[in-house]
Amino acid sequence: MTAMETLRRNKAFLTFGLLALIISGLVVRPTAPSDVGYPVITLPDGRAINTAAYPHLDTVQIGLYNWFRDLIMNLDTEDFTGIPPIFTQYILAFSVDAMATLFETTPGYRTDYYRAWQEQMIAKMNSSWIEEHEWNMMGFNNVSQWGQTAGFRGPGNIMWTGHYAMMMSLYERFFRTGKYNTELQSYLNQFNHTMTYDMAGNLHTGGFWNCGMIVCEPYIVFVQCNTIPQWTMHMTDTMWNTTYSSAYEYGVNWLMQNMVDDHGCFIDGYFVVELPPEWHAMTTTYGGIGPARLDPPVNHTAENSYGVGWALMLFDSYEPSITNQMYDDYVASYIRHMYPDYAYLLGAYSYPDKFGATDIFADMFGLTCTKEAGDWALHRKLMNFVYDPWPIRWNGYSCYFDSSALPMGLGALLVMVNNGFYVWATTPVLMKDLAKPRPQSFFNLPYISSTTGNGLFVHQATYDETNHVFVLTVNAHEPATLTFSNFPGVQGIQSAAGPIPAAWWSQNGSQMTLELPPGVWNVVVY
Amino acid sequence: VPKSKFTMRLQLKERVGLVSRTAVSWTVIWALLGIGMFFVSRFLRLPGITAGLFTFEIVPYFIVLVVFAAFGGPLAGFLTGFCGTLLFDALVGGTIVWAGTAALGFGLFGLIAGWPMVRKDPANGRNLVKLAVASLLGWLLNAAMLLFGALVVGQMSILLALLWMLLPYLTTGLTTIIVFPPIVVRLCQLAWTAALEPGYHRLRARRGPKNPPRRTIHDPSTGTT
Repeated sequence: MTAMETLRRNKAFLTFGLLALIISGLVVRPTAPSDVGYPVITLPDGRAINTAAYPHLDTVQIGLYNWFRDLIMNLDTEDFTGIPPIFTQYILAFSVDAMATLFETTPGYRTDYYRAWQEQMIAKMNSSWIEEHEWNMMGFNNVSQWGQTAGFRGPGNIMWTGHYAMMMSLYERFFRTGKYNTELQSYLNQFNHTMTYDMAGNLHTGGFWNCGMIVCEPYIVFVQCNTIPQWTMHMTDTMWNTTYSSAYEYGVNWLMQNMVDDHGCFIDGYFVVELPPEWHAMTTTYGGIGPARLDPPVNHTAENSYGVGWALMLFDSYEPSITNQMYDDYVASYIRHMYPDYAYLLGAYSYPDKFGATDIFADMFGLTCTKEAGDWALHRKLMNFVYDPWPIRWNGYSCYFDSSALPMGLGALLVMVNNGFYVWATTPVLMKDLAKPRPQSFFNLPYISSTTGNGLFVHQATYDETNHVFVLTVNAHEPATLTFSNFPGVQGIQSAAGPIPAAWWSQNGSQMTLELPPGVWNVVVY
Repeated sequence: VPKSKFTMRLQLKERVGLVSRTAVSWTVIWALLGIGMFFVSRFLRLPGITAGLFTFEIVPYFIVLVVFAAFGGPLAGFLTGFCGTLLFDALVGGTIVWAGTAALGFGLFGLIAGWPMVRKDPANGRNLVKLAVASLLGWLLNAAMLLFGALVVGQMSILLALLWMLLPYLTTGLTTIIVFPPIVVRLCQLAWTAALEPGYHRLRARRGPKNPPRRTIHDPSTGTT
C-alpha cells in the first residue's frame, strides 16, 4: 500500500487526530509549578529536623495575602476604592480573621509585613466611611436606639462593635504591643455591662434585653453576631486572666432554649423587644416578640445556613458541646450534592431552589466550619464547588481568584470574599488555635523582626522550643535580608545540602542577620 | 428476508450483546472492565484553560465510557456509565446523586454511544464519524438528564443548575466528546491488530475451535442467515 493510499484510507482518523492535536495544544496547560518542598535537615550534631512536620504556607496562600496587602496598603483610611461597598464591615473583619490563621501559621515571622496591614484594617473598620455606610445610610440612627443604646459604637450595634473588638484582640494576641488595649477593654466592659445590667444600671440577670445576648439591627438578636464578642471575651480572658466570659453564660443557655428550630439548627433572629410602629413596614420578618419569620413568609421561623456555620465554627473554641451537638443536623439540613465530589450548602433549607448572596456566604462559612469540625470529606466537596469555577491569576507576587466574568459587579464583590475564605479554609490553623493566646514568654523567643527585598515568600518560620532551632523556609524572588531578634549565640545555619556559608549571616548582640540570594531556602538555624 | 418480529428481537439481542452465551460473556467482561476503568478515570483531571465562566479541558472518563461502549456494545456502554457512576457516587461521595438520575444519564450516554458500532470496523472512517455523532447525541442526552435531575429531583435553583453544572459540563465536554473517542477507539484497534491479534490467532489455531457453532444466526449487516 502506498503512502498516499494509506492517507486516503485513514483520512477520517487523521482528521480526528489533527483536531485532537490542535485541541490538546489549545486546552492542555502545564500544571502550576510544584510548591516548595520540606526536606529533613540533619544538623552537625546528628539531630534530624523534619521540616514537613512544622506548619507552613503554600505559594497561593501567600500570593492571596499579598493581594490583600497591595489592596489595603495603597489606600488611605477613608479610601475604599476596590473594596466592596456592601457588607463592607463584615468583609474587613472576616478578612482579618482569615489572615489571622495565616499569621499564626508562621509564628516566628512578625514584621511590618503582617503588622502594618492589620493596623490599617483596624483603622479602616473605625473610619467615618464605615459609620456612614453601615450605620447612618442603613437607617440605624440614634432615634431607634432608646437613648441609652444610641450610637454606632454603642451596644445596639454588635455587628460592628463585636467585630471591631475581635480585630483588636487578634492584633494584641499576635504582637502584644498594648496599642489597642484601652479601646479593647472599653468594648469588653460594654459587652459585659450589656449582658449583666439592665438599662437603668442595676445588676440584672439577662442584661439589657433579658436574654443575656446583645442585639443588632437593632431590636433583634442573632446567634452568629453574638459569637464574635463571646469568642473575643473568651480569648482575652485567657490572654489577660480576666473573667469577662462569665457574662455570656446566661445568654448561651438562653439561645439554646429559644433559638433552635425543629431541624436542630439555630434560627435566624429573635426579636427581643417590641418594634416601634414606624419600623413595622420596614421588615417583613417581624411578628412580635419572638423568632423572626422567613422573608418571603413561609410557615417557618427564619433560618439560614451561613449563620449556623459561622456560629458553630466559633462555638467550637469556647462552647464545643454546642458544635458537637448541632454539627450533624446542620450538615443534614443544608447539604446538597451536585456531583459526588461536589457539594454545596443551601442558603436556607426552606428555599432549596433559590441561590443568591446568602447561599455563597453559606458555602464560605461551610468551608470554615467543616475545617473547624475536621470534616475533611465535606470540606473537599465544598472546596470543589466554591473554587473550581474561578481561575487563579498572578500579578507580580500577588494572586487572586478571577470572578470578573460574573455580571452586575458581583465579580468585584466575590473576588475579595473568595480570596479571604480560601486562605481561611486552607491554612492549618483553626479558630480554636487562635483562641489560645501566646504566652508572654513566647515574645522572648527568636523571631524575624524585619526583612528587605521584594517578593520574599515566607512559607515557614517557627522557633522550636524543644529542639532550640528556628525552622525557616523561604522563596526569595530577589536578594533578601532577614533580621532575627531575640537570637543570641547562633552557632550555624544548616540546609539539606549542607551548612549555609558563614559569610551569609552575622551576629550582632541578640540580633542575627541572614542574607539570601534568590531561590528556595529550607534551613534550620541552631 | 422480511424482518419478522422474531428477527427484530434477534437483532436487538445481538445489538446489545445477548445473542449467545459467548456474547453475553463478552458483554459482561467489557462492562466489568468498563466500570472499573470509568471509576478510576473519574479521579483523573487534566489541566485545562478557563475563560470567564467557560472551562475547556479534556475529560478522560467521557473517553473511557465511549471506548468501552464502542468495543463492548450498547449494553456494556450502559452498564459502564450507570454502574460506574453509581459506584463512584456511593464510594467517593457517600451518596447517590439525585436518586440515581445522574447515573441513568451516564448509562444512556454509553448506550447511545455504543449503538452504531456493533460489528463495525473502526478502521472504516465512516464508522468513526458515526461513533463521534452517536457520542455527541449520548452526551447531549446526558446533559438533559443532568438538568432534569438537578431541577426536578434535586430541586436545585435554575441559576445554579445552569451556571455551576450545565455550563461546565457542556464546555468541558464538547471538545472531548467529538474528537477524542474515535481516535482512541482506532488506536486501540490498531494496537490489537498489531500486537495482540496474531498471538490470539496462533493460540486459537493450536487449541482448535472449542465450541463449534450449533445453529446459524441472522446477520443484520448482510440480511442473510
